[in-house]
Amino acid sequence: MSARRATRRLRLGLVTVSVLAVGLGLAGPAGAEPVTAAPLVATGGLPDPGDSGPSAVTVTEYNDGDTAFTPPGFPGPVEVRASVHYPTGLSGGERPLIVLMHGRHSTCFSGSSSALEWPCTGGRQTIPSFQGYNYLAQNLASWGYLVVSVSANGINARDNSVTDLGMLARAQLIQKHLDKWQTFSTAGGAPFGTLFVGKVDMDNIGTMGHSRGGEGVAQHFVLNESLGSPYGITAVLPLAPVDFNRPIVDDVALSVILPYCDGDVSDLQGAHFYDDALYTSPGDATPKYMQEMLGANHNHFNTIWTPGGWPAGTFDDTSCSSIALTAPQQRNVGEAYMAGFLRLHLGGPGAEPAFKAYFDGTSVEPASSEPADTHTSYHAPAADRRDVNRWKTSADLTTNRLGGAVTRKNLTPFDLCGGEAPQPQHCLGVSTSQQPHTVASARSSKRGLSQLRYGWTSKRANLVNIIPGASGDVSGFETLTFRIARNFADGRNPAGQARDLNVQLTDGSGGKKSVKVSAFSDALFAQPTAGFGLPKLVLNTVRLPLSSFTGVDLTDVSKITFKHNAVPSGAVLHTDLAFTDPS
Amino acid sequence: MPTRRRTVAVVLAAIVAVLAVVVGATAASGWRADQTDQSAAHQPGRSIVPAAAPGPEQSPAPVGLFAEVPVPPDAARDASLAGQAGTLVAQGVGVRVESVALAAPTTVEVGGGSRAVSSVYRVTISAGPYVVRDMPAIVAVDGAPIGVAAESVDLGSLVLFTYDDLVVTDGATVALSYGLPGQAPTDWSATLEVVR
Repeated sequence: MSARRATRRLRLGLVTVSVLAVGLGLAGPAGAEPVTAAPLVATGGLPDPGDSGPSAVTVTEYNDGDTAFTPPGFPGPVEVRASVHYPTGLSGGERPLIVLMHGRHSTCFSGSSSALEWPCTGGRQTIPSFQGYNYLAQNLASWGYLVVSVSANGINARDNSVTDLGMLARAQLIQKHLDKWQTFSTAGGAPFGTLFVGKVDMDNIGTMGHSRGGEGVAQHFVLNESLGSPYGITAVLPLAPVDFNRPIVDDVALSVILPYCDGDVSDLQGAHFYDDALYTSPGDATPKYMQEMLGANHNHFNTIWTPGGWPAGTFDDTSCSSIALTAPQQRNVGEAYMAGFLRLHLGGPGAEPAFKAYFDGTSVEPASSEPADTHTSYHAPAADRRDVNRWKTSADLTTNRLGGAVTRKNLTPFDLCGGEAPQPQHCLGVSTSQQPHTVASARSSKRGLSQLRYGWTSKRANLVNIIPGASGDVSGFETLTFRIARNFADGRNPAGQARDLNVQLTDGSGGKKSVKVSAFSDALFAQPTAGFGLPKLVLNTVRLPLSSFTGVDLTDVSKITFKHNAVPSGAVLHTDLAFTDPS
Repeated sequence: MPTRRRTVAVVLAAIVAVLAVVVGATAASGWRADQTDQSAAHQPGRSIVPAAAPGPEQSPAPVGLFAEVPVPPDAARDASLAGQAGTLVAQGVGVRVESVALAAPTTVEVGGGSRAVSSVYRVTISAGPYVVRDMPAIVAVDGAPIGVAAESVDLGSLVLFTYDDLVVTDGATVALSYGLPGQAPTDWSATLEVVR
């Protein structure tokens, strides 16, 4: 156990007192924490999405054959095969449908040797990658959901030979399965007869895709939309995804998981899914989430890809030498956050709105995810935000989105990076693979996330956003949120040490209150460095409850000040400053 | 049924056009990278379909990561080249470079210049077995990316076709990385020795 986590555990008891005192631990005493404080993490008494539900689960499968479908434009046949997990008895009416799609992996095996071809020949047999998420499907089905995990070996065997690396084919394959489920749920059909008739809500579908399957479910969302939305996709979850083509997934609940120790998609390019989805659709009524999972690698989310899980083709890809999770630990944290997101947004029999706290920047983690350490990003629906500063264009350096002045003192360099030219394409002078928000995409020339870059060596340093009077009533909001990360490449950040800052709100009458970020968030943690390709920089959300700014008139807030007096020096990257969520 | 705010007509038309085109690539020829950035061809912010497979004369400039990784024209990715006999022109520990005759001469662009060729280099890296990964396997010579390699069926080797004479540079270092060289870790490297 690392010193950091040990500290966290020791502090947990003390923290729990304040957590319980304010419901979800949102109002710890401001300024009471040491500079390098461990995060305030507790389960807060919330239900745990890693827990199984009350229903027994039945597992079955359908298989139309290895060459049952050729996606239009794809140079080879693909199987139509999937596992099905459902609550035994299927009591009640329609329930949400969840579709899982695996990523790129060997397709066939013989003994301990694996191969890449489709269909399998020469006595080789199929590697059932689609069965690698049974643990997740079991969990969700026990809560009443219907979970279908589709096989995509035929795509994996040839996806490098098409221009988009098989992403449209993956989307088409999912749509093919949904077409089948439309039939299963209405007229019925082989091999299930009428078992699922009236039992599937085709207007409430969640998708999860791993690796290339992650971009596959993103492309599927776009494909389904382009076809007039014959099916209702209400939640999309790319897991350790590639993002070669940069499809935009907006107007739908989105949650992206980035495993910090991913040794395959090691540049964590899936961060683009989250960044690209923000602000693109005016009035977007859906939230976006991202989780940075320290210790998690690429393959252990799939049991068939995990050493010991299948006779061939498995490997441990971790890039971390000291914080790597065991395979069971990784599946636990993956299960918690995947099941939690899907239950949060699909509703239905397993609906659990309280899970939001695990995703929105609140410092609580599911107990079942321990000892994993997960950092979260959250973008609220448009109606639930008052954006203050996106740090997107040079104008934002002097005037924020509300029309208020932006000033700073003793901050250098104080510029924007990562966004559209003339901004520099990357923010740090290190490998671009260590900068997920700006890493180049294989099939798109899109730029990355625009970020404010600055540092300080004076305790008088500050950053001020003036809030104009017309926007000063924030009493209808619950929190002040922003994304931030410690700039590990800047020498003003001592190696291995977290950073901190105070955030002050001032009202029109001069009332003011500062709170220390470390009291509510560990977003400024020191990124682990032991391994290869490390550290990596991912911005995470700080969520400061407005209730903690005691003495400030929240109907007349006039100024937000980042006061850099908590530590002698530091450097950060920052974006997305907003008042968030209804109070 | 959810309603979407965007007009779908343009996208539907694009999909129909794409679906009408059979992508004529083969697994043996590996990475098909005569790509275009589709996001610009559709609604703002949307990247929904792969490019149809244009012929060499239609190939747009590569985008994104592939802008830095040369792409051989279609003639070098003919399926028959994978199994065709070649002449060994360079080698190293775990790597062979062979010259393979094209079915017909063609004109290619290498290093910003255009020239006529009647053969292509087939680079076979046999330092496996390899695992099937999500990231592209990029081969570089002395740090300069020359293309993306494809796995053989038995995963015992990676194969790349290129016209770049860099692969017949005596003493050059040939390297494999999953991502751009210098950015992604080097998985393997060897020194090339030209066969005279």
